Amino acid sequence: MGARFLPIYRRELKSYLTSPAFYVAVAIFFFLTGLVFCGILLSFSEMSGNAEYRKEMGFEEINFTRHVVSQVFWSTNFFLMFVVPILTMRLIAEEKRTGTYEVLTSLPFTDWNIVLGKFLAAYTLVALMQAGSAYYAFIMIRFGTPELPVMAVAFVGGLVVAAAYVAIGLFASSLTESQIVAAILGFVLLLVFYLMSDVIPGTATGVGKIVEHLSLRYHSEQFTHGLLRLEDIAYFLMMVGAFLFLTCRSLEIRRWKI
Amino acid sequence: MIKIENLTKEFGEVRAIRGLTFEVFEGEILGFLGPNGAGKTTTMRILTCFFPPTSGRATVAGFDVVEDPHEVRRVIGYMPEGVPLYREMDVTSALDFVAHAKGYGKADRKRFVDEAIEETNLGDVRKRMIGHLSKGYRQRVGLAQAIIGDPKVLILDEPTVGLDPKQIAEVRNLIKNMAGRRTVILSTHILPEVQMTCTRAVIINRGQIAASGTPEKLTTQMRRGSEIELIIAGPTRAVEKALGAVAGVSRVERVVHHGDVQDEDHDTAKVCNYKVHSLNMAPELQPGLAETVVRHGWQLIEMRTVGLTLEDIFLQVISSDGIPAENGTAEAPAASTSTTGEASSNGS
Ligand SMILES: Nc1ncnc2c1ncn2[C@@H]1O[C@H](COP(=O)(O)OP(=O)(O)OP(=O)(O)O)[C@@H](O)[C@H]1O
Ligand SMILES: [Mg+2]
Repeated sequence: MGARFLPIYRRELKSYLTSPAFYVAVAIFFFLTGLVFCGILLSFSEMSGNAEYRKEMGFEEINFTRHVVSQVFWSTNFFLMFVVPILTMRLIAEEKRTGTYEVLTSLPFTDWNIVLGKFLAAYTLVALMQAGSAYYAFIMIRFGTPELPVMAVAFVGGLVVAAAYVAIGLFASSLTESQIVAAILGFVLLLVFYLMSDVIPGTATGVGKIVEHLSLRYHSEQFTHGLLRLEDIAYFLMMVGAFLFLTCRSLEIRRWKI
Repeated sequence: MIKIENLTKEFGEVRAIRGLTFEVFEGEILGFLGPNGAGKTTTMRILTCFFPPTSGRATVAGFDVVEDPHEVRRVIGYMPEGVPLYREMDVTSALDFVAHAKGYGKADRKRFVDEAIEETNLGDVRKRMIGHLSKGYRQRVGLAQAIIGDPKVLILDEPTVGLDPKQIAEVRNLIKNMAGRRTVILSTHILPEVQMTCTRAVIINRGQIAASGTPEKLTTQMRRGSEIELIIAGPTRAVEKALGAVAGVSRVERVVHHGDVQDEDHDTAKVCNYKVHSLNMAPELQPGLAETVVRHGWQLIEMRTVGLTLEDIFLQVISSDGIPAENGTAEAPAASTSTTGEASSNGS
């Protein structure tokens, strides 16, 4: 009975393939990341042209890994914050709006089966999109001199980060019956968790430090810099668990309330 | 099979159902009747574990909807009001999903899907996208989803709403043929539907049971509070007055025919129809009426009890004056429910 989420997972994947939101999300993702990838490469070639001048002026030395690889993965992570809510917005909100949620609750699923199946379906697609963006990595390897371990950490880290994004988007979708509201809520939640560390001065201690450590940005930037730390992975897994749990609670609370 | 005891559901201030008690026995097709807002959908949602009751108990096949929702979900097939469906899926995939959800393996799923498609006559649209189907076909997909995997209990919320007469007949036949094999509870506003398809009916109004019993039993029960129609040749006003004076008569009504001259000054003798209403319909009422007519020297041409249709009963039940209280609780004596309850839980 371990795979009770499987019917949901399969159904969601099938539905995504016929959903315009999915294609919109894919298009936005590859358009934005492609655009920024070109931008990063262009500015890097410009910097390389000025290498002598930069040295004289005492600027940091140019480095392909730092100035291209990290930038590319950072921006991919950043754009996922826009794309993931578009993908996850329909997951629960749409079922509530059309009433199919009532069919779902009459089938032998627990809330947890439903939440897990939906989460994994959306995450599979996001991970596939990230895998698609590995294309940029090949270009970088082909035409540059990236440090491969940094690139690997950034890539795997990106997959871990995306799981947290999807969990947050799914939670947002459980709060409303409107897909648009779900998308906006998801985006706002992501942004809040992302920028949380920016309002904290670097010298902060105590609560400030905790807030900084709860921020998505603080942990995801470790990955894009090529640092694979257990605590960052643990943080993202904890975020996934917490938001999936909250989604279950939200389904349960609404059941008691209505 | 389904047992509801003192069930109450409140939405804030709104008390959707209040102290509902009834039972559906194995193999029965129960018509769940009531006007808009009576609490039919709310009751069914509790039975399908969509939300829990505020108080009271409901069990399906012996499983409590609050304590054992998972087991309940295993034995039911549900078609919600308005037939919500995954419109972006094709018919076969949607049915396959439901079969998969009910825990069947690939081979079983294929068999169940084929069976459901056959039973609901969906063969020619099996690969079509549900959102592109006509309402009648979508309704059948909803029904097919409910019966997939041959659940013991079917809960259908207004299964024939919005269908054309031919499809209504088809769906009713489909349901009727389940009698004995499956336990069905279906809600409806349409009374002939109950007469045609159901073995028993429960009428609810404002969240409470107003009447219950077989369609025939309801009709006879209600006759006691009904009316007698007479055709009498005599002076109309005098007849009316005399009939009104007979013991047990609550009201007399003269049926005015179209084109009748309302000549109230001259109370001339003529043939006329009268309706006599009585609240208790005592056995001596009819002889009393006959005797009165004869005593005055008028001619009694015809006298008959008007058999109420279920329609009349329904309107009567849901109107504020309601019906004699004994009908409301006729189906819920403690002794009978407990014995049959045991029988049904042993069977499952
Ligand atoms: N989610 C809800 N929140 C608040 N009130 C509700 C809710 N659902 C139902 N009600 C109220 O409960 C009462 C019973 O509604 P219900 O839908 O059970 O009626 P029904 O018998 O199915 O009516 P209909 O024949 O129109 O389908 C109504 O007064 C309705 O307004
Ligand atoms: Mg209803």
